[in-house]
Amino acid sequence: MVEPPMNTSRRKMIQHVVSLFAQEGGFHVVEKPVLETLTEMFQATLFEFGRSTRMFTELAGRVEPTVGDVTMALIDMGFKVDPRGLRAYSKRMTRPMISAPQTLPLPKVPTILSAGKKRALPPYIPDYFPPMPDPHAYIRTPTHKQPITDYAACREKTSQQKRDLEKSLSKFFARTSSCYYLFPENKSLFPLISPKPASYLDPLIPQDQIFEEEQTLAPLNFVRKEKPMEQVLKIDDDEDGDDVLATTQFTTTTSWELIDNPFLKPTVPRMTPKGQKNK
Amino acid sequence: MHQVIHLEGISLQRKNIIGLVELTLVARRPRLRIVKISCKQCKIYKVTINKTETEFSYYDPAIEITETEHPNNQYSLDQFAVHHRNAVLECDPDAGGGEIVIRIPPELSHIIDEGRRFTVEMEYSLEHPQSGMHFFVPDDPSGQERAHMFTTRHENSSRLWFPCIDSYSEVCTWDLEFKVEENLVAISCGDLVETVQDTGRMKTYHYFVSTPTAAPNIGLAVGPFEIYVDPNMHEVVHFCLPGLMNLLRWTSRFTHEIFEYYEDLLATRFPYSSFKTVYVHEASEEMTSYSSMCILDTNLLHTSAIIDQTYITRRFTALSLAEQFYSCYISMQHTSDAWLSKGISNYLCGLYLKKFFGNNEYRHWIHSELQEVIKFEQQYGGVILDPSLLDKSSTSGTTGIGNLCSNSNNSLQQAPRPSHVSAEGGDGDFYFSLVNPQTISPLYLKIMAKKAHLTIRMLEHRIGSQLLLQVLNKQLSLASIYISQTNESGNRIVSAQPINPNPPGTQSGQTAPGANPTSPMLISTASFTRAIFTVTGKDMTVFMDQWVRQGGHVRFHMSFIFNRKRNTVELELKQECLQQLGVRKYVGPLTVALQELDGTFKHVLQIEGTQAKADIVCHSKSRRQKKKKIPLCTGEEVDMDLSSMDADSPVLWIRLDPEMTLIRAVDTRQPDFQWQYQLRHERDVTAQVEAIGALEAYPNQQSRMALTDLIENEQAFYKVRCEACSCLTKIANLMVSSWTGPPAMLGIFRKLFGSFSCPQIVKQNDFSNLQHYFLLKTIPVAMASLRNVHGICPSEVHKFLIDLFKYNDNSRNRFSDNYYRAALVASLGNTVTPVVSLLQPGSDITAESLSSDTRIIMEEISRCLNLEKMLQCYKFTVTVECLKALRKLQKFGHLPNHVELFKDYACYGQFHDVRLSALDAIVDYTKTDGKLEDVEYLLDIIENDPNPRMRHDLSRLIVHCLSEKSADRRSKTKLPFHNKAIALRIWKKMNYDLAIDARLRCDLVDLYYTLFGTRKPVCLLDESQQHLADEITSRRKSPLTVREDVDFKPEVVEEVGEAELPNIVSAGVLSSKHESMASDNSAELPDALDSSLPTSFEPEMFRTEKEIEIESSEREVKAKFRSDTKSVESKDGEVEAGESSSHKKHSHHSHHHSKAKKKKEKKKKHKHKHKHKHSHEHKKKVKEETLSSASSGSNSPAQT
Repeated sequence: MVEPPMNTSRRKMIQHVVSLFAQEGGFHVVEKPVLETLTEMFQATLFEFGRSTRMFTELAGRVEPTVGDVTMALIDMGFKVDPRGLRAYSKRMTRPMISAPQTLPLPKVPTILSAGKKRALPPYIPDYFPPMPDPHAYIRTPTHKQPITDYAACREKTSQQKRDLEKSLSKFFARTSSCYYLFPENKSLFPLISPKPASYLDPLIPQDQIFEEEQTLAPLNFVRKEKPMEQVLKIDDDEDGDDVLATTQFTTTTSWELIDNPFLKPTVPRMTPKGQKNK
Repeated sequence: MHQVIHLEGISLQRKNIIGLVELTLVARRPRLRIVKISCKQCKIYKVTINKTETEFSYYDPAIEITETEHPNNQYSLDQFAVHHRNAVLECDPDAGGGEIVIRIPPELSHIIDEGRRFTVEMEYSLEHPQSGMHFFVPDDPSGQERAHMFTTRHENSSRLWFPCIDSYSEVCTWDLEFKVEENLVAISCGDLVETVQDTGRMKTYHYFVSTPTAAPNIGLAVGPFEIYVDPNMHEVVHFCLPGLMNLLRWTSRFTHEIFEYYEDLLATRFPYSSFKTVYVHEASEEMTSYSSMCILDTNLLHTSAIIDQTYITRRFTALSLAEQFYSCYISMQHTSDAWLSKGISNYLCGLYLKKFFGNNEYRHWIHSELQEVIKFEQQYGGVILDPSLLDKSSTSGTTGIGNLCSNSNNSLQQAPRPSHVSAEGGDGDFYFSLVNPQTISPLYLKIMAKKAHLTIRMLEHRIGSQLLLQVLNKQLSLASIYISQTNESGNRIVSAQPINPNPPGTQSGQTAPGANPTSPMLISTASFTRAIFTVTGKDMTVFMDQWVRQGGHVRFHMSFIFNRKRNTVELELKQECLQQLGVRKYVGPLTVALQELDGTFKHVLQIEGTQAKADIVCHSKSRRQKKKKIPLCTGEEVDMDLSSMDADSPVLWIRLDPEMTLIRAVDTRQPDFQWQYQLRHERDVTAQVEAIGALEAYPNQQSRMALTDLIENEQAFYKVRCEACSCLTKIANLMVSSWTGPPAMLGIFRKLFGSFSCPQIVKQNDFSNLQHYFLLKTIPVAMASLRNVHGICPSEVHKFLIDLFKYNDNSRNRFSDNYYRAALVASLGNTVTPVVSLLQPGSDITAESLSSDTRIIMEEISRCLNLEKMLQCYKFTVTVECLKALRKLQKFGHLPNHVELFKDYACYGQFHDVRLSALDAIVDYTKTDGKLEDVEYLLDIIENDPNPRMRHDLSRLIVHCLSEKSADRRSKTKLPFHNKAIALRIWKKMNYDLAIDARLRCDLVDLYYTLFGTRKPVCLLDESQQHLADEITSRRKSPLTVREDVDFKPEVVEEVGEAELPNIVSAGVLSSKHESMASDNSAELPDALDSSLPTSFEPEMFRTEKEIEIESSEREVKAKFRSDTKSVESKDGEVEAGESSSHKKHSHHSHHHSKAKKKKEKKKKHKHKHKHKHSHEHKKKVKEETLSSASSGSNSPAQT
């Protein structure tokens, strides 16, 4: 039987009461099913008692029961109500005591993040209105922590980050490629990644840092020559013009021409003229 | 007259060329019957003269240098040098020699007799060239498109790729045609006339060289080059391999400025109508100049972010252009005139650098070149710029007491020394012949170029820079007039004079110099002297005799006393050590600059003898005019704190020859406060550098302050500041017990580079201030060498360095910090000191036994090294330094001593610098712990490496490493290199296999000399031969082993004196000489005077090794018994065994023997020298046997 956990404690309490009654009645041992049955009966009685009490209360148009209601309910359930006897019974010497059940501490209601100071109500608002909420609820307040402005700590942190990054990168690489182990018995200590052959480009085009090359005259292809528009009219000193294969692209201010240099000239066909421009 | 080269097929994949050359020649004299043409390694198919097929024969005497005769004396360099020289001279094109001999058919002889032109046509091919031409063809398929080839050159060696008259003096015009695949570019000398499309996806580049050019100046490069026409000068084209265009653009952006500078300077147009620079991979030298073309190493390229390389690259570019004027355009008459072209082009380059980098840089450079030349000369002997007269000088005068190193060449016939200097030790005799560059050690050639530069600079001082430039201008303009005249005369083909490549019957040495004395295209010592005379009216013959035709440098010792009464400085100048190697006497003017309180005063003294005294009257009355500014030589006036100087003397400091007008070493003796004043206030960087060097000897508080102030002085030249750093390290180490305050330079560093808010953290990198950049790199390295009282690096410094690593942040820098990071790694390496091991010697170093410091160091090094695998920096500078540091850790016992680590980095395919660094480590390892396999491994690389540059560099590396002082006392003869197999292998290689590669052959000769000396190596002697006493004594004189037996020497001399009367005299001479020579470097060990003999390669070798030496000598004595018993058996009881003194007698006897023999051979030359040497050798033998018996118990030294 699956009971909601709320009931278990109540049921335990009732069971406790039942067994106390039984003890008072002179029993020493009780069988579990019996106890269960008694508990069930007791609970049912209590439930019925409470229910009819409320009925009587409500019948009388009240919300809170009075002694009369309780009495009526008891009578309705067929109990003979003897107030004097009841009082005596409740004050008898052998009355067993049940310790108050332990109550769990109430789960704490998380306090709402309070940022800033709550403002007092403005004078035109009567004081029975609720207090003003936290300011962040209605104005923008910085919620992040104040950044560290200490130079040393910053440097420390960036360098640490960088090193961690580098370390894990090289660790990863060391796992995935062949290594030289300084101490073959301890492979985790200082594995040195074996070098791979370098082409002629590798040493000259470093990868460790990227520098943006200043792109001065970026369109200046190596075979082209900058020629500002206004100078186009003049005859340039070493431009013959006639045998130059001009690939003129008129931009707003400059034009580009192939420099007159034998290395840039197209090949001459050996017999039949069908030259093709070599790059 | 004219030569056509037509290369039909150039196949990169098959590494071969097929070609045709056509030489147009004119006979210089009638009845010419044979023509000799230089050609090596090419296969000639057909030779025709005027279309008539002719017979020809091919003989290259250089293929096998020494034949297998002389069974006794084989394998000695003495012999080798003679044969090598003869072999090279036999084919010397200057003398009309050549490997190919063509008979002129009788039916054509009338043409020759009539003096008409005739054409020699030769078809040839060349496959897998070993030298002269290099094919770079990567194995991987993706690399195929990067394949390229180019010519290389070691002196005149064009004959390696086409038949020609391979002489600098035979200039002619050229037609060059190269047929290449369509996607390739062929770059060669002269003007590109046209590019013709051919069938089969080929095209032909046609060049024409209109300016007469010598064959060695013809070059070629073929490859998939990218073309970059210089935007400022369209005649200039740069070529680089694919992918490097950005670098090329940056590197070449200033080329036009150099052109303009030279044209302005020389008032001449650039001699060629075009100029091409080609950057190639695996170049054999950084730069090789051909006429109107230059082949450079691709590793000279750099981007704008690289600082250090810029200086190097710019120097090479400037030099390459200067060589266009002097080397290519103005060629030399004879190879002995090479100093002129080298000197003048270096001089021009120097002038450009002076303008570009500033006077300080220039002077510093000159100073360092001077020191280099002096160092070389003291180690190996005087460098003779123009050896052409050596042949003619008589051999009689060569006594050369001091030249103990020189007995090698006594057997050489030419005895290279003019008689008038014979009494001095100025010229070294070398173990190679100086007459032809093909036989000269590459190191010597390098130093010669430097010395030539210094000599031209001296000339500048003598005749004035304007006039010198006028001389050069005159030469250039005469040449251009000459060319235009010959062109005008309707003769497109310039015929200078009927030059006969082969005067029949004349042999080498006779006709060589001055064969064509009037051609203005050629320069020679004589014609240059004449030109100076015509322009300036000054006769420089004496100068040429003194400095050009004679080797060596001058050496002064200066001391002085101030005479208070007379207010004079009594100066004493001595020229000591005249017997020492490379030093010679000087007579003439010498400037002394005296800095007094009232200013700088220069006095010119006339030096007439070895001792000179001069009283110089001081201008200033002894001071007391206080608070007066002191004028300096620059005219500035400065305040000085004069409290530390001598109260009576007005002299602040004295300098000798401040302008470096002589090639001299100066040893100035002045008190430390004068050096400090000189350091603080002298404006000349060379003076500051000298002061820094001198202050090392004065570790005191004042020196410390002076150095610290200099380092902090922003006005000072950065290189001086950097040098001051390392000096301060030395001083701090010497003062370690009295040092106060934080470690040296820590404060300076924090002041300069600490960040604003917390000085202990270094600033983010900003290298825009280059002075600071260089200091930033230098200070950590210098600090890392600091040691505390226990001789280890202070923990403070350790932490400082680790912090530098940690806080290095280059994110906001415009420049790359790769050199800085490399310097940091280097400084980590510097902190390493020999481990104080608690372990049993011999037990393995395990991961657990690492000290915490080592762990931290390893952490950094492994991080840097691993990171480089993924994100490599420019030229792998960090890897290079990491390898060095790793080797250091191994060497000092912090890491397991394994060489395999480096072998990964040393194999072909790695970057050149990385390989060199790894090989350096391997050589170092081999030297101390190596086995035979390690040596074999190194030799394998020397012999077979695909990159010729590496073969050369590695041999140089080994030579360098072996000739420097070794730290451990392991006997030199026990080096794994001293092995029969190794000796034979090197010998075989240099004797038989390297006819093609003259440079490597000379490298190996150097190596062989360094290992075994000039005699037959001990390890090659048979046991049977050893019974010959004279053999034993004369068998070897290795510079490496000569020192072993220092302690015996005086006794030997004594014994000799007793035994033979004439020798007493020589012994006396000997010892007195030693005293004088020992004075400068052996003060601590007065009883070992002989050990300062100039034969040594290690001038300071025994400075710290006194005890060890004694120890070893004791061992020797013990072992002596054994060796003596052996020799007794063999020598008929001449020597009594069993006494410790017997070995002395033995040595005497043996010396005696050899001397007698020598006398016969050499006609009483070098008496003392021999005596001395033999005793040396004898000792060596003793040592040898000691060791062998100790190690193997065998009595055969060959087993060591």
